[in-house]
Amino acid sequence: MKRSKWKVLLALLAALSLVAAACGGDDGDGDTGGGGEEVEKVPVSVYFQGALTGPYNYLVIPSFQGAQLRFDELNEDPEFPAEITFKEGDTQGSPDNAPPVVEEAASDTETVAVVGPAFSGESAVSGDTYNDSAIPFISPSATGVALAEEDWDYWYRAIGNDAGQGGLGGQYLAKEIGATKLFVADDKSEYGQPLGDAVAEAAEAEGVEIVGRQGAAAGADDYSALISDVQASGADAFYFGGYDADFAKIVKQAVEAGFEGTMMSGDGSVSDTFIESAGDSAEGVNLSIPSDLGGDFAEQYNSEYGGEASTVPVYAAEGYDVASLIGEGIKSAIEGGAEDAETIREGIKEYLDGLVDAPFEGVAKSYAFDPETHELAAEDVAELFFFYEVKSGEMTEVGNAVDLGLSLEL
Amino acid sequence: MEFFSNFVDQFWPQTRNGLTLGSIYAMIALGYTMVYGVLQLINFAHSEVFMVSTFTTLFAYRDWFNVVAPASGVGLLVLLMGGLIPAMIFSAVLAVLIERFAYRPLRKRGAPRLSFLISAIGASFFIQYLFVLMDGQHSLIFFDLPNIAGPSPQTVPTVMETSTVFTVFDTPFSNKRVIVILAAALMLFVLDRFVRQTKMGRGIRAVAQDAEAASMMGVDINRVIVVTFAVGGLMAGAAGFLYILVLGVPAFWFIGFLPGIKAFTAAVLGGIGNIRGAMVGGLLLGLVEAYSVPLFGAEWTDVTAFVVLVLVLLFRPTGIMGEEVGS
Repeated sequence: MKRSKWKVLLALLAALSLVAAACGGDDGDGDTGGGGEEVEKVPVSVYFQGALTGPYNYLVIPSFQGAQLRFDELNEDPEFPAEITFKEGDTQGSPDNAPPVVEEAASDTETVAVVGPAFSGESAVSGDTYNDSAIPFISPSATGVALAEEDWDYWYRAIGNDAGQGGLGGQYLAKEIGATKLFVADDKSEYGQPLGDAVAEAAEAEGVEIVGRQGAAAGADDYSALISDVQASGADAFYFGGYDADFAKIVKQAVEAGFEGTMMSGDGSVSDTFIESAGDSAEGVNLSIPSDLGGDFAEQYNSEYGGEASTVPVYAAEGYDVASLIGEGIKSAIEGGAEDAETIREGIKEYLDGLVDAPFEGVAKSYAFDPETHELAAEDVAELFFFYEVKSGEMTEVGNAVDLGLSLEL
Repeated sequence: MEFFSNFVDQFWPQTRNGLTLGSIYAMIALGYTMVYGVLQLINFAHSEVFMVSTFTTLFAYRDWFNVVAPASGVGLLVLLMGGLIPAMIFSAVLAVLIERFAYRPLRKRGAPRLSFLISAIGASFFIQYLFVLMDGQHSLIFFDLPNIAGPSPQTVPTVMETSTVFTVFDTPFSNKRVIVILAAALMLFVLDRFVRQTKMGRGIRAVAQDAEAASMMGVDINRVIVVTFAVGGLMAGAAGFLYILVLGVPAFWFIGFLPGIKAFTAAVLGGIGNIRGAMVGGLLLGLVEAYSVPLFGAEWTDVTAFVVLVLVLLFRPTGIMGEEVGS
């Protein structure tokens, strides 16, 4: 018995080594087939951190797909000096799930950068580890203002923040919607609560009466009690700072309860999930986002992903651009002599910091980061923001904040 | 005293909201309380029994009936029954399976109480994550798991247009809320009669009072326990169906957690093991949660609910109706 077992084991090992040899062979073929000149590609890992599954995943999947698309292009490019392995770190959007994902990314010796974290709450708990490990992490979608105040050297934000979104959102409600009595609720999250506060403050400054301010924990199912409160307050407009899955439930239940005011939310509700889950109730709901959903990249995204593309390509272009930035950073690092992950990380950071003098033109916009805050530098922050209204089940652009005559005096 | 005037203004709408949610809590709470009655065990997997019914409803409407638009008249009645009955059946089947595989083996070996608790929590996690993995892309050893649930919520088609049936003190009651409240009241009434007036009901009460004596008197304990789990499952199944109907929320593997915890609280509030107590506890908890929004704000809902629980237990340690299972 014993002997035959050993034989089986040996046979298995032999088979495995054959498979391994075959795989190795494939790699060789790929390299030589790629181009005439032999460039030895440096193997590096880039992690994506965000909600790839769970209730909030459609807010994040488009930016993941955008980044994946760009990394695939770079890997196919024979002159690109690195082979990027794009790894998924799924947190379901929850800060509670973030630590193991962050730990994995930080302990991977080939990690050179992180796309994400996607949400503000998970960013807040993840930032210290990335920063201490000197891994550049660029979020294509987290808008929480407080993140910039953490003084993380390795953190960058590729979009506008909630000071802008809240300020402009409040003005939009006052000027474009003509709200007189506003009720503001939020999901008590790192993202939703400050956004709700900013909207309430800006609307009040425009002369809108704030008739209610509530916080209701994310992930609840029954919002009837909150909606009765909104109705009793006599509000003609309702703003929710929070994410798509929750806002969809609120909108659906508010319409059923007969609320007739205008409902609005921020970029956290701009997704397929909101449109699909709220259904007909979503008609006439207004949304703001520091991204142009209808930009040129949307077409490329749709043709690449076909049936798997989100109908709301939220931050897909930003995901692509962040991947480009990382790619450019890797290239400039390796060309500058970097050989291992540690030096490449530094090179990426240098590249990102250097954009102030020579901005990178991405598919969505041009990128340069403020040397102090690492926020996206822009001449007029209001330019970054767009407003949408749901019409016939589609996100229909109302306009850019600047075109709507809204401005921020920050 | 602004909060008080808020409360007075919103008294009727919040009463309506509280009764709706409370009815659903009560129906789930019955499963906890009946199982506790006969086995002195908190069946923490009961929230998954509730969860399964939301997926059954999803399948009934999306795949079996292919609902694309809300129906009315006879068609609506067929749809409502076509959702409710499978939801109840699947939940009951799951509840019985949980008993069969998570509890009976322990019972046969006379395991200590703590083992049952761990087994309950294990069963709960097992079912939850089984649903997460059933996305059509995973396999369990040799079997390819079917595409049933997956990690993301799935929208259930709307079968019913909302309309106002009647108005009390300027508070409109929608058809959905009326259905939930009436259906819950009817089922709770039938259950109460079942436990009090049928032979099986007498068996359940007998086992609850003294299992050993009951078995000596010729009561088939195993059968009583299976029926208890099945009845609790039927109620949780109906609750899940009504939950989806009235709130329009998507089916989700984690959907049972919050209502499960709340219903368990309701059962303790009313007196765990006491069937009428579960009903009272459920309604009370629903009302307290709804009233807390105008009084203290939405972020205080859970705090208020649990403060009420603590206060009740301080003065009546066995809950409002007491722990009298057998009566």
